[in-house]
Amino acid sequence: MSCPTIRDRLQASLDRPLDEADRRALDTHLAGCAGCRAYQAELAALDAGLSAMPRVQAPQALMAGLEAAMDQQAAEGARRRRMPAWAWSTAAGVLVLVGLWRLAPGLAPHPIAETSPGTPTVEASGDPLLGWIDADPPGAPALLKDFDPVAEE
Amino acid sequence: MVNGGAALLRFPVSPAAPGRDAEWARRGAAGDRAALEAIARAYQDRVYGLLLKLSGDPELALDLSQETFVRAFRSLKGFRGGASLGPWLLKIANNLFLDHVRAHRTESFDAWVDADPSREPAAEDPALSLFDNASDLAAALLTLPVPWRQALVLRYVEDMEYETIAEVLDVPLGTVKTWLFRGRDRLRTQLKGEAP
Repeated sequence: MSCPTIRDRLQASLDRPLDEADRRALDTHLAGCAGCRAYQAELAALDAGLSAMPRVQAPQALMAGLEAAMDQQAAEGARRRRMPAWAWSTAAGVLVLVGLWRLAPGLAPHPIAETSPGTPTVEASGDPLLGWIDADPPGAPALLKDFDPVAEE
Repeated sequence: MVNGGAALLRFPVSPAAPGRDAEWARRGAAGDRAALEAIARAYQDRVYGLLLKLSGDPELALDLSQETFVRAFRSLKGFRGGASLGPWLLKIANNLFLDHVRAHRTESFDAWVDADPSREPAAEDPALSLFDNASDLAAALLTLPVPWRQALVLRYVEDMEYETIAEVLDVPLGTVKTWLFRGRDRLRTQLKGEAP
């Protein structure tokens, strides 16, 4: 292995164990290369220094500064939790109003129309859209199949 | 000469509490104040510590830490339950720091921040001149290009593995290795008193 390769391996060995072959090649090279041994020593000192960097404690001001954000998030959560109750109340109110409207004869403007015999249904055509196209309502002009643009003019 | 086992012991995987964190995240997203406070208390030191190491400025670290938690609280619904909140919060903090640096950059600082892994900084880079009076490793760290600094801080302060660093910094694994290698090499030469 060349010196640059050895130095790469030395760096890698700080993070993860080398495999057996790499480790043997490294040891063999280091035994005969003063420059790489010096590099190894410097790297080891740096590694120890970086590993020993002190952990710090956050100042109390951090938690104090988060109080408002936590209050706001909690308030939003509470609002969201209340939402379903509002939704249920609204839905119940609408149902009561519709029921009253249907039951009070004077309030309902027209009786609900029954489906006419010619009205296509999902069951008849299998597809409501196709049903409407296929069916020619009584008295309506024929659709595309009988349409003659020249005659129309 | 190289003791791989010792390296493993020196760099334990960051303690993760996915079950606890997922529960906190679920409750926090629903507005449970106690859960929000638990998240902030559990991670405040890590978030602040990271931002302090990256910026070297206690006031800025405090501001960005608060912003990190505020954003996290608003986004808790997006947190995936299988992971620890730690890397997720640190990713927010890292991005906020990068946004801050970019917003306050000077023209010459621009390329410094967006360091291409293969790029060697020019001698007139402003961050290098800061090192004239630096006497300790933390100060030396501040002279590194931001991505190299981020990778080193996550590696050494957070004890993160390559994969987690890649996830937090949103870069490929190979880029993490390159940044770590270049960062360490630059620090080594600076601490020796050699020109980088």
